[in-house]
Amino acid sequence: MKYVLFVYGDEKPWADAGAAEREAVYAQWGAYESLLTEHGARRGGNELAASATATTIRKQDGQVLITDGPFAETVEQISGYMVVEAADQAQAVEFAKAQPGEVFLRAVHDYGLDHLAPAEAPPGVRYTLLVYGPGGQETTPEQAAASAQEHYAYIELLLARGAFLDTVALQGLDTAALVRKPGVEVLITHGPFAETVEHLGGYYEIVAKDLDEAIELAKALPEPVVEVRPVVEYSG
Amino acid sequence: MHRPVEARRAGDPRDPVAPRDPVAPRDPGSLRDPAEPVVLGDLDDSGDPRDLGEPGDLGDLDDSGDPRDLGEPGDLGDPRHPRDPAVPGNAATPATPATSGDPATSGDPATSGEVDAGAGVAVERAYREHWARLLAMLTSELRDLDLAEEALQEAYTAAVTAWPPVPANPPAWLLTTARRRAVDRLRRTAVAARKLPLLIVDEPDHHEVPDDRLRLIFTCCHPALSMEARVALTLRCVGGLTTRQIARLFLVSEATMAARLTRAKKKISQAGIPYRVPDGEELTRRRDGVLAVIYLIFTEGYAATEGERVISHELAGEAIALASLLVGLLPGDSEARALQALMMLHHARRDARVQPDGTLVTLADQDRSRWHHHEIAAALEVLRPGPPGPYLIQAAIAVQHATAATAEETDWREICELYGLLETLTGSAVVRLNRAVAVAEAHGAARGLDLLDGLDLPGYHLLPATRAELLRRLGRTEEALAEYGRAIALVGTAQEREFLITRRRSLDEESTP
Repeated sequence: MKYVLFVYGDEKPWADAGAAEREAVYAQWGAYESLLTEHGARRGGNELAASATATTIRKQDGQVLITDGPFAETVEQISGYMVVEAADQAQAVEFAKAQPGEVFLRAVHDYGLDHLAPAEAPPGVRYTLLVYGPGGQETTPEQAAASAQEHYAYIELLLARGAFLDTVALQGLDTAALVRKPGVEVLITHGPFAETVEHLGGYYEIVAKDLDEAIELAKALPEPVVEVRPVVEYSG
Repeated sequence: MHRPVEARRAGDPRDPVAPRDPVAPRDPGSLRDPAEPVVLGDLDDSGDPRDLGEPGDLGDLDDSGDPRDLGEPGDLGDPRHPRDPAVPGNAATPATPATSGDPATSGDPATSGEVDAGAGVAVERAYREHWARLLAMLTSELRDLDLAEEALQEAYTAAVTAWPPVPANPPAWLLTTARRRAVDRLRRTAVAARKLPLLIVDEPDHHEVPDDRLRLIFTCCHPALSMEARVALTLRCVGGLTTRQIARLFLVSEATMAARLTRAKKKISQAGIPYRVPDGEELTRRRDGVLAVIYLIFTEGYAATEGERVISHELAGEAIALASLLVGLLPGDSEARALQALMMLHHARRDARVQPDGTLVTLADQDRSRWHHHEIAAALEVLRPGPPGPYLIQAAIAVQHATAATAEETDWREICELYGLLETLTGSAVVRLNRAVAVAEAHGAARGLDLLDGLDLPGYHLLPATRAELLRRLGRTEEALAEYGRAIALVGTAQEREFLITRRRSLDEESTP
């Protein structure tokens, strides 16, 4: 079963960190990635640029609203994520405990789309489109099927544009856990969660020419709220 | 006509998403909806309590010889703000030296006169004439707005000490110096761990080479930036104002303004906001966004709630200068022209709007000889016919007022028509209020009052104020007094409150002989 481990917390310490502190944090991440590789558990992930660089697209009453900033103006923000393969929720929590910083994790629906991901990202700017839904609402099987059809059509569109990189649909909040690390102690919460955690339904990874194209693609996404976040690139 | 929905929403204080930056007093992000104040300034044009739209714009200081006054026709399109090429931390920070009577004189007493006056004036001129163009070119070359801006600022600072002799080709000198500074900076920061991504710059099409300044304007006014960031960036990058000057205009600390600009530039590079003139349908929509930013700068100066009058004139002047620049770049755009004309027409009345003691004067009572008629004539020159857009219609209304020899000769029927058109186009409640006032003038107070029925403008004092005036005309004294009371409870500025209290008192006295 795949899980997404979202890096979640106050962005300020990282924003204020000096070069040495950043080196230390990146070293922790290097060690963590080695650990995942040892377990054969690593399936992907990205660091996202600060939420200050986010742009949120909202569709309501037939209008599209574009706003500067993330979906929820909270202290705690998503600053990246790791996708892992775990035997069960318990192992996913173990991976989350080992991950630097605080984490919220959710199980991923397996729609068998892995083969669609291109071997190599085409040139352009990479963005993660964080998709926010109503959260916690029951959907009928018919609604779920209709929504799935819309998403398949959207994936087709992205593929046709050469913009598709990956997508993840999160399972229900019953698979969610918040792993906090005050000092050495690890606290695990199973809800209630903050807005961001409650409403996040999944994400698309895309490549676009620039933010204008990313916004255009975000508008086409069949969900009411999409947060466009640039992916941090390490090369060069 | 497409409404600039995105531009309006992005910084809208009523937006469910709170602004990211701490909201400073009179922050542009906390301003009224930029599509609405389009009409606000107009209320004064419609008759009676209506000159209240522009209380911050007090004309009398103009006569104090403020060099920043935009009073002369030749000044239009010329940002007359005192340029301050000083860079914090630089020991040699004289800006423009004080030369009495010189229009380019800086009013800043902190700047010394050690440097040759001619050099200061030359630098000042170079700012006005070349800043935006040079910044736009450098940004294209360096693909880094922040670096381009810093390097160009340093070049201007260097010019203050290096001139005279003023080089034969000042912009070329500035460009060369700025390029050199940029290379120095890149060398110094080459070791920095992770650089921000480069700006996305399209290779311009061979057939049309757009002026780089247009790209700069569209990047600064991008809808993915907050409204306050758009305003600050546009004044900094296109208007060429220093961070310190912008901070002063918006009554925030220089550090706050610097942080806002830095954050905005970071977002541009990190989020991949392109350095590009949009094309096709996108151009019209984004053009509307640019106009909204410029008009917001104007209305901030125009209807400043507590601000200083000098500041309000400066902001109005900046906005007119920006619109003039945009018109130069998009000469065929009737809406851009209409915006420039509209602002010039409003601004031309600044001296008649307020009495020396600060009391507001209604449009009907204004001494029309104190209007700047050269500016009105210049505004009419700017206008071009075009498809009916919100600015063109408002400019047409302003023209009706500005060209009526007396208040009595105002063509209210024509103004009613225009407001009707504007209401259809915008669906705005504020426009309906304006239309009601015009209808009252053309067809009687009762018809005007009918149009106010069911109008919902919570917290907006001009609605009860207008009701009060119309009820008063109909002899419905008790109701009128109650409406004055409501308006007084809601009003924001001292002058407006004073005006309403005077009106209520006079009615009270009339009715109790």
